[in-house]
Amino acid sequence: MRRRAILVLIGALTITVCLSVAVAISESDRHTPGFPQTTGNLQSLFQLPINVSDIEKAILELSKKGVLSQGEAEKLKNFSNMSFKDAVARIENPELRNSLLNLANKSTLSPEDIEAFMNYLNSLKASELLSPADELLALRALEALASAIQSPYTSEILSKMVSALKELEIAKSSNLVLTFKGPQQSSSEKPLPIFQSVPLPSLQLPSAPQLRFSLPRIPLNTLIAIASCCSIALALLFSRKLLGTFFKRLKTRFIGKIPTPEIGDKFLEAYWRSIYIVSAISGVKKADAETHREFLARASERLSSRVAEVFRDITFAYEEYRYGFRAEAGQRILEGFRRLTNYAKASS
Amino acid sequence: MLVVMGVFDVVKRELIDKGILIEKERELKLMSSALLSRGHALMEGVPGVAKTYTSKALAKLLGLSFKRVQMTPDLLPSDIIGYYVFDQRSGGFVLRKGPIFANILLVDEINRASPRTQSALLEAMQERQVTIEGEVYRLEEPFMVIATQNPIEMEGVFPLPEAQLDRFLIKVVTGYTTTKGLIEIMKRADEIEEAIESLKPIVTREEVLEEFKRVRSVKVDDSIYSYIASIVEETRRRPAVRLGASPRAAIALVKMAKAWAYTSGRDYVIPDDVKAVAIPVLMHRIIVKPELELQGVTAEKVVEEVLSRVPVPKP
Repeated sequence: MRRRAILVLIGALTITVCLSVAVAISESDRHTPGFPQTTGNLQSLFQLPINVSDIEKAILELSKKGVLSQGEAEKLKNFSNMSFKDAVARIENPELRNSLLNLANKSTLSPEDIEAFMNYLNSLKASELLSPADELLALRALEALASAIQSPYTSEILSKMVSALKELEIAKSSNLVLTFKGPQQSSSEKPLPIFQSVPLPSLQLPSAPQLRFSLPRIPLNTLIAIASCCSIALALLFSRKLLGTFFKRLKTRFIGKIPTPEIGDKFLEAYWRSIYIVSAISGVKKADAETHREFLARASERLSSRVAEVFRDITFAYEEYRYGFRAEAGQRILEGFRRLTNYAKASS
Repeated sequence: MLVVMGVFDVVKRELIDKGILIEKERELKLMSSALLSRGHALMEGVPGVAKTYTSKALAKLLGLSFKRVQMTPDLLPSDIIGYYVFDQRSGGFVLRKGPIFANILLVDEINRASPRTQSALLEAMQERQVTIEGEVYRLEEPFMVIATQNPIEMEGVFPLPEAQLDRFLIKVVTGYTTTKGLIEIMKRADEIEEAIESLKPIVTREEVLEEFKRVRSVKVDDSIYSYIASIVEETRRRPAVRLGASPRAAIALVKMAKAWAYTSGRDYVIPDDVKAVAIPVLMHRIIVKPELELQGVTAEKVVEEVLSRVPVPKP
């Protein structure tokens, strides 16, 4: 039983120490790997403060880099101050021009109209009937139209312009570099200089999640407290034997001064004092539900044969005196008690 | 200390010391104590653990009249008690006494008899008399019913009603022997059988009746009565118990403790005597809640728990 208790305590102590170390190490980083720490970057994607001037700056940068041809740059000149009519007039594709004019004739600009026009642009682009300059001019005309009637879709059109410019850049550039940047992006992965003025959406791409042993948060203080308790319990368990011997010697030293139970019968008192002495010598305490013979049997296992014999005589004499109403047995109790006291004193 | 050679001493010398009954000392001591307390014993055990042999050997040794009834479902009360038959010679009805008119009646496999037949034993066990055709017949002292039952079989048996169980002073659960004992039995099987058959009475009926008086005079201190009362009351307080021990159980405990003390060679009862007989006296009188019974709680365990909780008299 005691060995089991020690093993359990050692196990508990080891687990607690391991947990303390693990908690101390992983205290700073407890988020699931592969996912962003905050959602701030995701929100910025949908709140881009882009205006037409930024687009114009980007066009100029692209022109300087040679991504846009001289003619295209010329057509896109003064992009930010261009009116709807100017933009439409500069478009080469007549069909596109007519579409825009038809759109202008409408009193309102619904999301369906914008979507239909975007699809139309995409179809022209797919069939290679749309030049980059025409695309940007068409989008500029659409933006002017939307701004004039204070349509809420202006930002979407501007985003489409940014996308068009990016596509243009990617198509012309031989060395493709991701322009999406994240908070932990390395210095080598810088965005292209042409978009430095445009606040591009930044999103950390989720990486493949790594499996990691994860435990519920346990305060370090609690673990230290548990470890301390286990250590104290272990120390007590190991030192119990030593302490037990010490207290046994201490008790037997004071046998002459043991408290006398107030029963009013010197023979019965002698028996109960014998029990006290035997308990001190053997370290076995008499339980309330234990009979005199049961206690005798249990204590005798830890007593020397001479002391056990004396205590046996006392117990049997007590039974005769107490339950058999034999007065003469009282003297045997007293005699046995004297012998027991002498043995106890000699052994201490 | 008593120096009188009591019933149990004789039984022990003849049956245990001579190796006729192996590892049955406790059972014999309990049954001798039950006889000296004028009580009846119920022996429970699986088939083949010498229940019948033990009872038969005890009866033979004591020189008392012994009858045996093998219970079956079709057995009638009159088959046990007796009945009147017409005698052509005398031209009137004469009583044909049943096996109950014996000092020791061994009722083998009592739970095989129908409840009607089982209840026929009730009057005899409690009142020590039987009524046949309105006439009351006193049974000769000592009168002891030793019934055996097999706890395993569930089909074709009628469990004893609580009222009848309460009339048995003790229930002795007898089990298997140790390996050493089993080897001894196997070696001496024929010899044991012959020895039991050839047993001669050593104790007379008068001597047994004299012992009744001695057992009755065994001293019981007031603190022992209080101890027994505490045990009985504690059985009613246990949460696992549906029905605790009755006042009749308390009386039975006192009687058995006295007889146990006497068979142990004392004329006074000590707490150990009470503890020694508490389980055989109380276990068949306590009803455990069915839901807890299914979980393995038994009346025996309840009594053990009670004994480990109730303080013995002090000082």
